Amino acid sequence: MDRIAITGIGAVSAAGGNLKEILRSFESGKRNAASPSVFKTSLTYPVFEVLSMPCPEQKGDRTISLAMVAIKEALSQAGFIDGLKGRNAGVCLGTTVASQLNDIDFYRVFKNKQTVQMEKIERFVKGNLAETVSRRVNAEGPSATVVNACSSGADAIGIAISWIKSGLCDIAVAGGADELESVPLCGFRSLGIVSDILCAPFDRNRKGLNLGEGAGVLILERESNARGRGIAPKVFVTGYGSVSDAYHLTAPHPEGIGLELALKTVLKQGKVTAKEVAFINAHGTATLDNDKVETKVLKKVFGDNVKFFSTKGYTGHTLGAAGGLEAAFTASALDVGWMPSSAGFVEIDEEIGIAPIMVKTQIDKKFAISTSLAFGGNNAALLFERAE
Amino acid sequence: MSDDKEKKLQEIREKLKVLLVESLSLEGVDPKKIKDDEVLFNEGLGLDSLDAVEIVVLLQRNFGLNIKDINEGMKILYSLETLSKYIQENADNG
Amino acid sequence: MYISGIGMVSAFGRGIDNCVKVLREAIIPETYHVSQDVIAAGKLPRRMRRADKFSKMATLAAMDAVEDSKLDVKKKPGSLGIVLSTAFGPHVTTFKFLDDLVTYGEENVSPITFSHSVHNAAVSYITSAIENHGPALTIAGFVFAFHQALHVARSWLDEKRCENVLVGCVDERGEVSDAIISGKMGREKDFNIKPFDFSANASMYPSEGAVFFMVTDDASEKNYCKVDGVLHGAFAEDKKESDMYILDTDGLSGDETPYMDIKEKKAMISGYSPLFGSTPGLSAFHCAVAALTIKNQRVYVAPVQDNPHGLNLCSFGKNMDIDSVACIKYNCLRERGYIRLERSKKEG
Repeated sequence: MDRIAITGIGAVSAAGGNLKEILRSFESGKRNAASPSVFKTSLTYPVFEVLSMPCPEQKGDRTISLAMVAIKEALSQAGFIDGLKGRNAGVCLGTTVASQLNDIDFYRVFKNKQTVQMEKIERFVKGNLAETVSRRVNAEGPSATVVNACSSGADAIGIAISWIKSGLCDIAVAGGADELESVPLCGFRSLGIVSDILCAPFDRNRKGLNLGEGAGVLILERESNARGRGIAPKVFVTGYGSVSDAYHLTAPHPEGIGLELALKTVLKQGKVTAKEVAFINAHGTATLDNDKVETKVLKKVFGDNVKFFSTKGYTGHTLGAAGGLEAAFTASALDVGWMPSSAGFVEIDEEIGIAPIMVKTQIDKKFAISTSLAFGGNNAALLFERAE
Repeated sequence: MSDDKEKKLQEIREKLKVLLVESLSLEGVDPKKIKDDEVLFNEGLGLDSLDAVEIVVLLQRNFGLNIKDINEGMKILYSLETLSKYIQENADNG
Repeated sequence: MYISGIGMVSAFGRGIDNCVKVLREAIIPETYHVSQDVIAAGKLPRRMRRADKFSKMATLAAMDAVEDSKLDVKKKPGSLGIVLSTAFGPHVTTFKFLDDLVTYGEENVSPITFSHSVHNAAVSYITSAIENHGPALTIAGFVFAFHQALHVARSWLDEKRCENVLVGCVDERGEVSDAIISGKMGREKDFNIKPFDFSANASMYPSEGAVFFMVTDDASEKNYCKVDGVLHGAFAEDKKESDMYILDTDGLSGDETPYMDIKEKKAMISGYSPLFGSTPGLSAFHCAVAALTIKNQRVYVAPVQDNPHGLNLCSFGKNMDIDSVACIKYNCLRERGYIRLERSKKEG
């Protein structure tokens, strides 16, 4: 079986400007949240900003810049420092913010003066994430920008896997990127799901999510392709499940039927039993609903001793980037052999009944799963396998 | 309750009925036919969690009221009656 | 990959039957809006009461494609995938949310408006309306998003992730988007779209609508046609000749001179943008016309006959043998999009 290998991983978030720095933050438990500096707001909610990335002069470029930081790291690791020209490469990236014209100043000017600031429009129309990245890395194969809310990054990886398996491309740059912005902060706050203190996934006293920004990207190719280039892959993606709750626009299905089916799908695809899974990198947003439903399903599928954690305590909820970032973290955890503690967790919630990982823990099995539960009801799961 | 207070409460009820129908897009619901003590969630008007947070914003915009505590909110939003009385007791012009 | 069902909502109204009528009679609409009456008559599920026009158009077209295909979704609810493509998403609602921010401030914005301003709200409603539990996602792109969506559908079917895929395209009009398009084009909208002028400053008139296709690998005589090829990008080239070419000349690329390439083709040429208006998703509407052309073995008259380049234009509707139709699109960077449809079975 010619598995889909991960030959490069790149990540940038509030926890660090590259994967190494992020893993150091995981080890130390460092949480870099603060009041936002990348946008103006009267709201006082902590956010996880990428401080290593200065605020660009032009709004709208930040998501692309974040994506390129992660992509450069991933391409370098995969041995594609000069780009992907002539490699039949595709680009599939998830985002939310970058696809919307969420420019309040633009709208204010239009409303008051009925004029359109064309330089902002030009940038927006020429700034489709996957298309822009394709040009910059000279990828000549398929491209797609996935806008599936919180599962965008995971779904982008899933699509890339499908492309490679059906022969549409040989190599894919896949993941997600999103920048911090005031509009989603106001929006999620209006839904009553943003915490005014540091988020605490799965904790009894959790109050909601903190927003974050970043990018997480994988370079994917068939194992035979990688070995043909002299690379012995260390981690593979051996399953992708995507299932809709078909329940509600903003609330997850109370029994988590979509997530349960997505998990069972990846276990079946990977020919793996629940017992063989070392850990689940959960969506774990720290909202009351998500954490309750997600853990209900994890217990049902993996038993009460399931090992799980959320990295959103270190990165915030990075929306379209989340699935990509968490895939990067899951793959690299299998590679380095340890999983991080679930930052922010202090006390068990009786309604949940189980606790996430609370200390850095060695990994003793070779499979792991990352889950993403999207606003709108899509549930994505990715199965990763460490090489022998 | 004094006549004046009851009259003001009725005004609040009528305003709320129109606001709910318009803001929550309750198609086919005639505000005049909503009962004064109509239960808002599940049975009754059949509202859901998304409507609940929208009502919180409606209270802020139209009456200057801010519900911060979820548990307190669930009691206030139980029915049109509980909501109307809450507004009457707490609004600037209540 | 075969097309087994089509659903459409456009300025002419709703449904494939209405689309065929408009094609046969070359009825150019008086306005390029989807009427609220069409939406209201749609009998959408009650849970869609808060949905915006974007989500409603998408759901109507998707439901119609399911019905047209006769697929019983509830029989195997996990085996149908959904891919929606869009250029601007529910931007009218996005701007409504920005209006809330400007008018009421950061602490008084509407959560209902916010929830509907996200690109994937429409797909969420579609999954609920048809009670489907398969994979469902939304792709955003300004020119070739529909082509990209077809690729995703193709790869899901190849991988056997799904047995059927609902793939479609939705875009809406709004005050802000009209102003943006006029600003970008450097000219006001013009109702007189001329699909065959191939002008460097082509006329355009923004429009809206939704099209969905049910695609499957299940070959059946009931299918409309086969999707023979989908390409997009700088290197997209026809590898095969087609019996007919439909051009996405709606003025939105601004400079339509690249379409002059088509003059080399001896095959029949047509373009139906005056029926649908100028929309980033025109490829999807033309794909529907191409499918109808093949299924009905009838070419439909090009609604605007101005033909300054002497093309072999489809000058009147007629029944004829049509085995293949290619839909061609150029963007402002002269990158090409190409969708080729073929008759499923050739008669002996």
